[in-house]
Amino acid sequence: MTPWNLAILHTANALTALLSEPPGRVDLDVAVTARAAVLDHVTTVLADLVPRTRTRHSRPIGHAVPVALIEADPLDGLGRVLHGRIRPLLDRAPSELLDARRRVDATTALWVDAGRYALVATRVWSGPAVGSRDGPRAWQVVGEVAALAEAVAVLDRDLVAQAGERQWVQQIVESTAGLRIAAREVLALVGPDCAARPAAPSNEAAAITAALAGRAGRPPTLSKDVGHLTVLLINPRPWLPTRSVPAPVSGGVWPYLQPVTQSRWAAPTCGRNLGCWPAGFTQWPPVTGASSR
Amino acid sequence: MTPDPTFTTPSAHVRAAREALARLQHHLDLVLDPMTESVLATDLAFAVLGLEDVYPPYPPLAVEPLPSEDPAADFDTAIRALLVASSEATTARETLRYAYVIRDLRAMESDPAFALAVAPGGRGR
Repeated sequence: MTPWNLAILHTANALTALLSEPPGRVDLDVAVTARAAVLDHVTTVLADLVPRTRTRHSRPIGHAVPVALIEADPLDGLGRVLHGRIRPLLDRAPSELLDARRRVDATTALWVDAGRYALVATRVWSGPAVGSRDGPRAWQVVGEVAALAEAVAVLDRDLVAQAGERQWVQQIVESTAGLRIAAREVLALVGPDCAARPAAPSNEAAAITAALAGRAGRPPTLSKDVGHLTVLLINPRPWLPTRSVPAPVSGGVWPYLQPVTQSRWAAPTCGRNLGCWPAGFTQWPPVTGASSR
Repeated sequence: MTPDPTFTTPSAHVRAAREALARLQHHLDLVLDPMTESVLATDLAFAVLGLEDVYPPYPPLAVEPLPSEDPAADFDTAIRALLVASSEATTARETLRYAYVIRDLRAMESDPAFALAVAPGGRGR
Protein backbone atom coordinates (compact mmCIF):
# COMPACT_ATOMS: atom_id res chain seq x y z
CA MET A 1 0.00 0.00 0.00
CA THR A 2 1.47 3.34 -1.05
CA PRO A 3 1.54 6.34 1.30
CA TRP A 4 -1.11 7.94 -0.87
CA ASN A 5 -3.42 4.95 -0.46
CA LEU A 6 -2.82 5.06 3.27
CA ALA A 7 -3.68 8.75 3.51
CA ILE A 8 -6.82 8.20 1.44
CA LEU A 9 -7.80 5.27 3.61
CA HIS A 10 -7.46 7.39 6.74
CA THR A 11 -9.61 10.06 5.14
CA ALA A 12 -12.19 7.43 4.23
CA ASN A 13 -12.12 5.98 7.75
CA ALA A 14 -12.90 9.39 9.21
CA LEU A 15 -15.72 9.89 6.73
CA THR A 16 -16.97 6.37 7.48
CA ALA A 17 -17.18 7.21 11.17
CA LEU A 18 -19.10 10.37 10.30
CA LEU A 19 -21.47 8.40 8.10
CA SER A 20 -21.97 5.61 10.61
CA GLU A 21 -22.86 7.63 13.67
CA PRO A 22 -25.82 9.92 14.18
CA PRO A 23 -24.73 13.50 13.47
CA GLY A 24 -23.53 15.24 16.60
CA ARG A 25 -22.65 18.82 17.38
CA VAL A 26 -20.01 20.06 14.97
CA ASP A 27 -17.88 23.16 14.47
CA LEU A 28 -19.09 24.19 11.04
CA ASP A 29 -15.93 26.15 10.27
CA VAL A 30 -13.90 22.98 10.73
CA ALA A 31 -16.34 20.79 8.81
CA VAL A 32 -16.50 23.15 5.85
CA THR A 33 -12.72 23.52 5.79
CA ALA A 34 -12.23 19.75 5.88
CA ARG A 35 -14.84 19.33 3.18
CA ALA A 36 -12.97 21.81 1.02
CA ALA A 37 -9.70 19.96 1.62
CA VAL A 38 -11.21 16.65 0.49
CA LEU A 39 -12.78 18.17 -2.60
CA ASP A 40 -9.54 20.02 -3.41
CA HIS A 41 -7.73 16.71 -3.39
CA VAL A 42 -10.33 15.07 -5.59
CA THR A 43 -10.01 17.94 -8.05
CA THR A 44 -6.23 17.74 -8.08
CA VAL A 45 -6.14 14.01 -8.70
CA LEU A 46 -8.81 14.18 -11.35
CA ALA A 47 -6.99 17.01 -13.14
CA ASP A 48 -3.75 15.03 -13.15
CA LEU A 49 -5.27 11.81 -14.46
CA VAL A 50 -7.83 13.33 -16.80
CA PRO A 51 -6.34 16.57 -18.12
CA ARG A 52 -9.52 17.64 -19.88
CA THR A 53 -11.17 18.15 -16.49
CA ARG A 54 -8.81 21.09 -15.93
CA THR A 55 -10.85 23.16 -18.33
CA ARG A 56 -12.96 25.63 -16.43
CA HIS A 57 -16.49 26.09 -17.68
CA SER A 58 -18.33 29.16 -16.52
CA ARG A 59 -21.61 28.41 -14.84
CA PRO A 60 -24.08 30.89 -13.39
CA ILE A 61 -24.27 30.76 -9.62
CA GLY A 62 -27.06 28.48 -8.54
CA HIS A 63 -27.12 26.54 -11.81
CA ALA A 64 -26.27 22.88 -11.51
CA VAL A 65 -24.39 20.92 -14.13
CA PRO A 66 -27.01 19.22 -16.32
CA VAL A 67 -27.51 15.56 -15.52
CA ALA A 68 -27.41 14.67 -19.20
CA LEU A 69 -23.94 16.17 -19.43
CA ILE A 70 -22.78 14.24 -16.39
CA GLU A 71 -24.17 11.05 -17.83
CA ALA A 72 -22.59 11.64 -21.23
CA ASP A 73 -19.14 12.19 -19.75
CA PRO A 74 -19.02 11.48 -16.02
CA LEU A 75 -15.38 12.48 -15.58
CA ASP A 76 -15.88 15.82 -17.25
CA GLY A 77 -19.15 16.22 -15.35
CA LEU A 78 -17.46 15.62 -12.02
CA GLY A 79 -14.75 18.10 -12.99
CA ARG A 80 -17.36 20.72 -13.82
CA VAL A 81 -19.20 20.19 -10.56
CA LEU A 82 -15.97 20.50 -8.60
CA HIS A 83 -14.86 23.62 -10.44
CA GLY A 84 -18.06 25.35 -9.44
CA ARG A 85 -17.45 24.95 -5.72
CA ILE A 86 -17.22 27.97 -3.47
CA ARG A 87 -14.27 28.09 -1.13
CA PRO A 88 -15.07 28.97 2.46
CA LEU A 89 -13.87 32.41 3.57
CA LEU A 90 -13.31 32.13 7.29
CA ASP A 91 -11.62 34.16 9.99
CA ARG A 92 -9.42 31.29 11.03
CA ALA A 93 -6.74 29.65 8.88
CA PRO A 94 -7.14 26.02 7.73
CA SER A 95 -3.96 25.08 9.60
CA GLU A 96 -5.56 26.32 12.79
CA LEU A 97 -8.94 24.71 12.14
CA LEU A 98 -7.48 21.33 11.19
CA ASP A 99 -4.97 21.26 14.02
CA ALA A 100 -5.13 17.82 15.63
CA ARG A 101 -4.05 19.21 19.00
CA ARG A 102 -7.16 21.32 19.42
CA ARG A 103 -9.74 20.10 21.89
CA VAL A 104 -12.94 19.62 19.99
CA ASP A 105 -16.04 17.47 20.25
CA ALA A 106 -16.14 13.99 18.73
CA THR A 107 -17.84 14.81 15.42
CA THR A 108 -15.60 17.81 14.81
CA ALA A 109 -12.55 15.67 15.57
CA LEU A 110 -13.60 13.28 12.80
CA TRP A 111 -13.88 16.18 10.37
CA VAL A 112 -10.43 17.35 11.49
CA ASP A 113 -9.06 13.88 10.69
CA ALA A 114 -10.73 13.77 7.30
CA GLY A 115 -9.44 17.20 6.33
CA ARG A 116 -5.94 16.68 7.67
CA TYR A 117 -5.44 13.36 5.91
CA ALA A 118 -6.82 14.84 2.70
CA LEU A 119 -4.14 17.54 2.95
CA VAL A 120 -1.54 14.83 3.54
CA ALA A 121 -2.83 12.93 0.52
CA THR A 122 -2.52 16.05 -1.61
CA ARG A 123 1.03 16.51 -0.39
CA VAL A 124 1.92 12.88 -1.12
CA TRP A 125 0.21 13.00 -4.50
CA SER A 126 2.57 15.71 -5.71
CA GLY A 127 5.58 13.56 -4.80
CA PRO A 128 7.05 10.35 -6.18
CA ALA A 129 5.51 8.06 -3.57
CA VAL A 130 2.20 7.66 -5.36
CA GLY A 131 3.17 4.58 -7.30
CA SER A 132 2.19 3.73 -10.82
CA ARG A 133 -0.38 5.88 -12.57
CA ASP A 134 -0.91 3.60 -15.52
CA GLY A 135 -4.04 1.96 -16.83
CA PRO A 136 -5.93 -0.01 -14.18
CA ARG A 137 -4.10 1.81 -11.41
CA ALA A 138 -5.37 5.12 -12.79
CA TRP A 139 -8.88 3.73 -12.79
CA GLN A 140 -8.48 2.54 -9.24
CA VAL A 141 -7.32 6.00 -8.16
CA VAL A 142 -10.21 7.67 -9.94
CA GLY A 143 -12.59 5.27 -8.20
CA GLU A 144 -11.08 6.06 -4.83
CA VAL A 145 -11.40 9.83 -5.14
CA ALA A 146 -14.89 9.54 -6.61
CA ALA A 147 -15.88 7.49 -3.55
CA LEU A 148 -14.56 10.29 -1.32
CA ALA A 149 -16.53 12.87 -3.30
CA GLU A 150 -19.68 10.83 -2.89
CA ALA A 151 -19.14 10.53 0.86
CA VAL A 152 -18.76 14.29 1.14
CA ALA A 153 -21.95 14.77 -0.84
CA VAL A 154 -23.83 12.40 1.47
CA LEU A 155 -22.57 14.25 4.53
CA ASP A 156 -23.63 17.60 3.08
CA ARG A 157 -27.13 16.94 4.32
CA ASP A 158 -25.90 16.77 7.90
CA LEU A 159 -24.00 20.02 7.50
CA VAL A 160 -26.99 21.85 6.10
CA ALA A 161 -29.17 20.46 8.87
CA GLN A 162 -26.82 21.93 11.44
CA ALA A 163 -26.28 25.21 9.64
CA GLY A 164 -29.49 26.80 10.88
CA GLU A 165 -29.41 30.48 10.04
CA ARG A 166 -25.93 30.36 8.57
CA GLN A 167 -26.79 30.71 4.91
CA TRP A 168 -23.17 30.60 3.77
CA VAL A 169 -22.98 26.88 4.60
CA GLN A 170 -25.94 26.22 2.38
CA GLN A 171 -24.39 28.30 -0.40
CA ILE A 172 -21.17 26.29 -0.19
CA VAL A 173 -23.09 23.04 -0.37
CA GLU A 174 -25.31 24.26 -3.19
CA SER A 175 -22.30 25.28 -5.24
CA THR A 176 -21.56 21.59 -5.72
CA ALA A 177 -25.08 20.53 -6.58
CA GLY A 178 -24.99 17.25 -8.47
CA LEU A 179 -21.81 16.09 -6.77
CA ARG A 180 -23.26 12.77 -5.67
CA ILE A 181 -24.75 12.00 -9.07
CA ALA A 182 -21.47 12.84 -10.78
CA ALA A 183 -19.49 10.73 -8.32
CA ARG A 184 -21.89 7.81 -8.73
CA GLU A 185 -21.62 8.06 -12.49
CA VAL A 186 -17.83 8.03 -12.29
CA LEU A 187 -17.96 4.99 -10.01
CA ALA A 188 -20.26 3.26 -12.48
CA LEU A 189 -17.83 4.12 -15.26
CA VAL A 190 -14.88 2.80 -13.33
CA GLY A 191 -16.83 -0.35 -12.59
CA PRO A 192 -16.49 -2.73 -9.70
CA ASP A 193 -13.37 -4.27 -11.15
CA CYS A 194 -10.94 -1.53 -12.12
CA ALA A 195 -8.61 -3.97 -13.81
CA ALA A 196 -11.27 -4.78 -16.35
CA ARG A 197 -11.05 -1.33 -17.95
CA PRO A 198 -9.21 -1.02 -21.23
CA ALA A 199 -5.82 0.54 -20.70
CA ALA A 200 -3.34 2.32 -22.89
CA PRO A 201 0.29 1.40 -22.13
CA SER A 202 1.52 4.75 -20.93
CA ASN A 203 -1.19 7.38 -21.06
CA GLU A 204 -3.86 6.78 -18.47
CA ALA A 205 -5.87 9.75 -19.64
CA ALA A 206 -6.06 8.16 -23.06
CA ALA A 207 -7.13 4.94 -21.39
CA ILE A 208 -9.96 6.69 -19.64
CA THR A 209 -10.97 8.48 -22.80
CA ALA A 210 -10.89 5.21 -24.71
CA ALA A 211 -13.05 3.59 -22.09
CA LEU A 212 -15.66 6.28 -22.57
CA ALA A 213 -16.13 5.10 -26.13
CA GLY A 214 -17.08 1.64 -24.91
CA ARG A 215 -19.90 2.67 -22.65
CA ALA A 216 -22.71 1.62 -24.94
CA GLY A 217 -23.39 -1.51 -22.94
CA ARG A 218 -23.82 0.24 -19.62
CA PRO A 219 -27.15 -0.07 -17.90
CA PRO A 220 -29.51 2.89 -18.18
CA THR A 221 -28.69 5.60 -15.72
CA LEU A 222 -30.48 8.53 -14.23
CA SER A 223 -30.56 10.90 -17.15
CA LYS A 224 -31.74 8.15 -19.44
CA ASP A 225 -34.57 7.44 -17.04
CA VAL A 226 -35.46 11.13 -16.93
CA GLY A 227 -35.28 11.29 -20.70
CA HIS A 228 -37.55 8.27 -20.99
CA LEU A 229 -40.12 9.83 -18.66
CA THR A 230 -39.98 13.04 -20.67
CA VAL A 231 -40.68 11.13 -23.85
CA LEU A 232 -43.62 9.45 -22.17
CA LEU A 233 -45.03 12.80 -21.15
CA ILE A 234 -44.57 14.37 -24.57
CA ASN A 235 -45.73 11.39 -26.53
CA PRO A 236 -48.25 9.33 -24.60
CA ARG A 237 -48.64 6.63 -27.23
CA PRO A 238 -47.51 3.93 -24.86
CA TRP A 239 -50.36 4.94 -22.58
CA LEU A 240 -53.04 4.56 -25.19
CA PRO A 241 -55.54 1.83 -24.40
CA THR A 242 -54.71 -1.36 -26.21
CA ARG A 243 -56.35 -4.71 -26.54
CA SER A 244 -54.30 -6.00 -23.64
CA VAL A 245 -55.68 -3.44 -21.19
CA PRO A 246 -58.92 -4.45 -19.47
CA ALA A 247 -61.84 -2.26 -20.47
CA PRO A 248 -62.54 -0.80 -17.01
CA VAL A 249 -58.93 0.33 -16.72
CA SER A 250 -58.78 1.96 -20.12
CA GLY A 251 -62.17 3.52 -19.60
CA GLY A 252 -61.04 4.89 -16.28
CA VAL A 253 -57.83 6.39 -17.58
CA TRP A 254 -58.98 7.64 -20.93
CA PRO A 255 -61.15 10.61 -19.87
CA TYR A 256 -58.24 12.06 -17.94
CA LEU A 257 -55.71 11.40 -20.63
CA GLN A 258 -57.78 12.71 -23.51
CA PRO A 259 -57.56 16.48 -22.90
CA VAL A 260 -53.82 16.24 -22.47
CA THR A 261 -53.26 14.28 -25.63
CA GLN A 262 -55.62 16.39 -27.68
CA SER A 263 -54.05 19.65 -26.69
CA ARG A 264 -50.61 18.24 -27.21
CA TRP A 265 -51.33 16.83 -30.63
CA ALA A 266 -53.20 19.90 -31.70
CA ALA A 267 -50.04 21.93 -31.33
CA PRO A 268 -48.72 23.03 -34.72
CA THR A 269 -45.22 21.72 -34.08
CA CYS A 270 -46.30 18.21 -33.37
CA GLY A 271 -48.03 16.33 -36.14
CA ARG A 272 -47.71 13.13 -38.07
CA ASN A 273 -44.20 13.95 -39.14
CA LEU A 274 -42.98 13.64 -35.56
CA GLY A 275 -44.58 10.30 -35.15
CA CYS A 276 -46.96 11.39 -32.43
CA TRP A 277 -50.07 10.44 -34.39
CA PRO A 278 -50.73 6.73 -34.22
CA ALA A 279 -50.33 5.20 -37.64
CA GLY A 280 -53.59 4.40 -39.37
CA PHE A 281 -55.75 6.73 -37.29
CA THR A 282 -57.71 9.30 -39.21
CA GLN A 283 -59.83 10.74 -36.46
CA TRP A 284 -59.48 11.63 -32.86
CA PRO A 285 -59.90 9.90 -30.49
CA PRO A 286 -58.66 6.78 -32.21
CA VAL A 287 -61.40 4.21 -32.35
CA THR A 288 -59.26 1.25 -33.24
CA GLY A 289 -58.21 -0.72 -30.22
CA ALA A 290 -60.26 1.16 -27.66
CA SER A 291 -63.71 0.45 -29.04
CA SER A 292 -63.21 -2.74 -30.97
CA ARG A 293 -62.95 -4.67 -27.75
CA MET B 1 -20.91 -24.05 -22.32
CA THR B 2 -21.60 -22.07 -19.17
CA PRO B 3 -18.46 -21.00 -17.34
CA ASP B 4 -18.13 -21.79 -13.67
CA PRO B 5 -19.40 -18.96 -11.49
CA THR B 6 -16.78 -16.95 -9.67
CA PHE B 7 -17.44 -15.37 -6.30
CA THR B 8 -15.82 -12.90 -3.98
CA THR B 9 -15.04 -14.60 -0.71
CA PRO B 10 -16.46 -12.43 2.07
CA SER B 11 -14.48 -11.89 5.21
CA ALA B 12 -15.73 -13.48 8.42
CA HIS B 13 -17.26 -10.19 9.54
CA VAL B 14 -19.05 -9.62 6.27
CA ARG B 15 -20.33 -13.18 6.42
CA ALA B 16 -21.64 -12.57 9.94
CA ALA B 17 -23.34 -9.36 8.81
CA ARG B 18 -24.94 -11.05 5.81
CA GLU B 19 -26.32 -13.87 7.92
CA ALA B 20 -27.63 -11.52 10.60
CA LEU B 21 -29.33 -9.33 8.02
CA ALA B 22 -30.83 -12.37 6.29
CA ARG B 23 -32.34 -13.52 9.58
CA LEU B 24 -33.63 -10.02 10.20
CA GLN B 25 -35.17 -9.87 6.75
CA HIS B 26 -36.92 -13.17 7.37
CA HIS B 27 -38.25 -11.89 10.68
CA LEU B 28 -39.55 -8.66 9.15
CA ASP B 29 -41.21 -10.59 6.36
CA LEU B 30 -43.18 -12.47 9.00
CA VAL B 31 -44.17 -9.65 11.33
CA LEU B 32 -44.70 -6.64 9.08
CA ASP B 33 -48.01 -5.84 7.53
CA PRO B 34 -47.27 -5.80 3.81
CA MET B 35 -49.94 -3.20 3.14
CA THR B 36 -48.73 -0.57 5.56
CA GLU B 37 -45.24 -1.30 6.81
CA SER B 38 -43.44 -2.88 3.89
CA VAL B 39 -41.32 0.26 3.59
CA LEU B 40 -39.22 -1.11 6.44
CA ALA B 41 -38.55 -4.32 4.56
CA THR B 42 -37.71 -2.25 1.49
CA ASP B 43 -35.27 -0.11 3.45
CA LEU B 44 -33.57 -3.20 4.75
CA ALA B 45 -33.46 -4.67 1.28
CA PHE B 46 -31.73 -1.53 0.01
CA ALA B 47 -29.16 -1.81 2.77
CA VAL B 48 -28.56 -5.45 1.89
CA LEU B 49 -28.22 -4.56 -1.78
CA GLY B 50 -25.54 -2.03 -0.86
CA LEU B 51 -23.67 -4.72 1.03
CA GLU B 52 -23.94 -7.14 -1.88
CA ASP B 53 -22.69 -4.61 -4.41
CA VAL B 54 -19.41 -6.34 -5.18
CA TYR B 55 -17.94 -7.90 -8.27
CA PRO B 56 -17.66 -10.85 -8.53
CA PRO B 57 -20.65 -11.27 -6.21
CA TYR B 58 -20.60 -12.91 -2.84
CA PRO B 59 -21.64 -16.57 -2.92
CA PRO B 60 -25.17 -17.47 -1.83
CA LEU B 61 -25.59 -17.98 1.89
CA ALA B 62 -24.59 -21.46 2.92
CA VAL B 63 -27.80 -22.22 4.78
CA GLU B 64 -31.33 -21.03 4.46
CA PRO B 65 -31.76 -18.38 7.16
CA LEU B 66 -34.32 -19.02 9.86
CA PRO B 67 -36.40 -16.22 11.33
CA SER B 68 -34.46 -14.25 13.87
CA GLU B 69 -34.80 -15.33 17.47
CA ASP B 70 -33.58 -11.96 18.68
CA PRO B 71 -33.96 -9.37 15.91
CA ALA B 72 -32.51 -6.51 17.91
CA ALA B 73 -29.38 -8.53 18.66
CA ASP B 74 -29.05 -9.50 14.99
CA PHE B 75 -29.36 -5.85 14.05
CA ASP B 76 -26.59 -4.88 16.46
CA THR B 77 -24.46 -7.80 15.30
CA ALA B 78 -24.76 -6.68 11.70
CA ILE B 79 -23.74 -3.11 12.51
CA ARG B 80 -20.82 -4.20 14.67
CA ALA B 81 -19.60 -6.67 12.06
CA LEU B 82 -19.84 -4.01 9.35
CA LEU B 83 -17.89 -1.55 11.46
CA VAL B 84 -15.11 -4.11 11.86
CA ALA B 85 -15.23 -4.99 8.16
CA SER B 86 -15.03 -1.29 7.37
CA SER B 87 -11.97 -0.86 9.54
CA GLU B 88 -10.31 -3.85 7.85
CA ALA B 89 -11.01 -2.68 4.29
CA THR B 90 -7.99 -1.73 2.23
CA THR B 91 -9.55 0.80 -0.11
CA ALA B 92 -11.53 3.94 0.50
CA ARG B 93 -14.23 2.74 -1.83
CA GLU B 94 -14.78 -0.48 0.09
CA THR B 95 -14.66 1.28 3.45
CA LEU B 96 -17.31 3.73 2.36
CA ARG B 97 -19.48 0.98 0.90
CA TYR B 98 -19.83 -0.50 4.37
CA ALA B 99 -20.43 2.97 5.77
CA TYR B 100 -23.46 3.51 3.54
CA VAL B 101 -24.92 0.18 4.66
CA ILE B 102 -24.44 1.16 8.29
CA ARG B 103 -25.97 4.56 7.62
CA ASP B 104 -29.01 2.94 5.99
CA LEU B 105 -29.41 0.63 8.97
CA ARG B 106 -29.08 3.51 11.41
CA ALA B 107 -31.77 5.39 9.52
CA MET B 108 -34.06 2.40 10.01
CA GLU B 109 -33.18 2.28 13.68
CA SER B 110 -34.71 5.69 14.23
CA ASP B 111 -38.07 4.54 12.86
CA PRO B 112 -40.50 3.76 15.73
CA ALA B 113 -42.16 1.05 13.63
CA PHE B 114 -38.83 -0.71 13.27
CA ALA B 115 -38.17 -0.53 16.99
CA LEU B 116 -41.56 -2.12 17.54
CA ALA B 117 -40.92 -4.83 14.95
CA VAL B 118 -37.60 -5.93 16.44
CA ALA B 119 -38.59 -5.61 20.09
CA PRO B 120 -38.28 -8.85 22.13
CA GLY B 121 -41.64 -10.54 22.19
CA GLY B 122 -42.87 -8.11 19.59
CA ARG B 123 -45.64 -8.53 17.11
CA GLY B 124 -46.11 -11.88 15.44
CA ARG B 125 -43.97 -13.77 17.90
